[in-house]
Amino acid sequence: MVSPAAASPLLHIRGLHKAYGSNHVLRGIDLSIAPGEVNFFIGPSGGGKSTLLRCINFLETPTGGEIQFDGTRLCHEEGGRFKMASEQSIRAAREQMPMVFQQFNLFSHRTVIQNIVEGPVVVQRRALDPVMAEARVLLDRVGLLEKANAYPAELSGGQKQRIAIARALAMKPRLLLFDEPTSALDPELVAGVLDTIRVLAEEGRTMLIVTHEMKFAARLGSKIHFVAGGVLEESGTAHQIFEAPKSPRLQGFIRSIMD
Amino acid sequence: MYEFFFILIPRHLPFLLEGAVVTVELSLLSMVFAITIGLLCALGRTSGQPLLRWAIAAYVEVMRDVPLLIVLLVIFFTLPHIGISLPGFWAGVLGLSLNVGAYLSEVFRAALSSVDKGEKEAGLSLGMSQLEVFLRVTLPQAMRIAIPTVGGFFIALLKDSSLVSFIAVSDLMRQGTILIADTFRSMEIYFMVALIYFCMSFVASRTVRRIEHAFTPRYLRKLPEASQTSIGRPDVLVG
Repeated sequence: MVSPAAASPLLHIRGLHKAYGSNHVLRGIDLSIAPGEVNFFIGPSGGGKSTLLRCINFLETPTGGEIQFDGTRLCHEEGGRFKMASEQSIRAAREQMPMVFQQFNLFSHRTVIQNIVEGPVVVQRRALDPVMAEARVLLDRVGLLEKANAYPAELSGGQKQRIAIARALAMKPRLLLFDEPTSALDPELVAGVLDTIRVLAEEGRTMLIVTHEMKFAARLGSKIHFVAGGVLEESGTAHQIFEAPKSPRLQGFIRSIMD
Repeated sequence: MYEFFFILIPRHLPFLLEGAVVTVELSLLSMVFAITIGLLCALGRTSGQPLLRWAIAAYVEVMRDVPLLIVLLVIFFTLPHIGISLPGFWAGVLGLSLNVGAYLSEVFRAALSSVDKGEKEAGLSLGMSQLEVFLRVTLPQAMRIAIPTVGGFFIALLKDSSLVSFIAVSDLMRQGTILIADTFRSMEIYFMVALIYFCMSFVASRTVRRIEHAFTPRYLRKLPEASQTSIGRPDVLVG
């Protein structure tokens, strides 16, 4: 078995900083993601885990550090100054790492199938017919083929999120970003979405998942990162994080969620 | 007792209809320009530099606070003194477009900013450019929101365009005034003029409703009509 460190990383982050004025949300994140890994980010709210994810696809602009994705340098520091790659390279990278949002963010004026084909047709300029066929396969996989012509407003939260996942998959991405994908769902709808994500993990997709679903993270994650105070306070396997936490902050966090 | 001469109706109708055609042309042209002005100003105000934003805000404020009639009179009678001389029809189009454009810029600004920020982010996260996000996500949704209000402004414009009769444009109102001066039959003539304005506005409001319906996705059509239709005269347009 090849250890993750030996494979060349798909995503490589060094010293990533994000500050809003004097408010430092990220204070130097180092992270390397190998293809096929599922990485979970847990931690208290306001700790920076969502900001980290949103900096990786540049929905938030980092203020320092380096990000390399699939061999392309998207931002770095040179002579003490922070530099970003061209807008085009950033868009090309985003296309390969679509995000699934807490609030789903489906295009509300488009039907389910239109939502799914939007990216491939508009961004990747692929022909509509094959994309439609693929979209139907994806819809079938998330169990919502019969909703192809429904509008987002006609769906439940769980259904919306599964459509959002299908929309991301339609890009044929190298990496999937999940920003608290089940936090806005009614409890009885969470399982369906987690199930969809579990299947993706079993297929060997590379995913970064910010979540509060600890049990799910423990069961699925090849690596779990505890984010607090803008740093990766502790990283490790589910066993290391949940059974043998080292840092006092993580120990406190584990205790608080066990209550 | 005033005697109503019905015989005057067929005799003068063609002359009035000529004016009605001018009114429609004037209103449609002004509306096209007003929508363009409104959209550009709305965009300039959301994404522009401070100076541009200030200039647009000043323009909107002036147009809202000065009577439309004065704007028309200044364009037609005063601009020639500084070398800008427009024929009455185009002076009318300019005045009406500037006036309605200012109001529409506010309508569009509200409509554009009502589109969910998350959906724009979703577009970006798929690799769309800012322009693609605007054209594919923001604009279609903002337009649907703005259509009823824009339609209401069009109907108000159709009627307010009668003010151009003050600057020698042969629109419906002016044709009527000319006839009255000729015949001294104000009752019959005003009746016909009012009826033609009524018919034009009625057709326009039904058309707007139809357009609105066509732009409303199925899931929104289930709502009671009152919550999505706001056709009527926006009182703010009164010059």
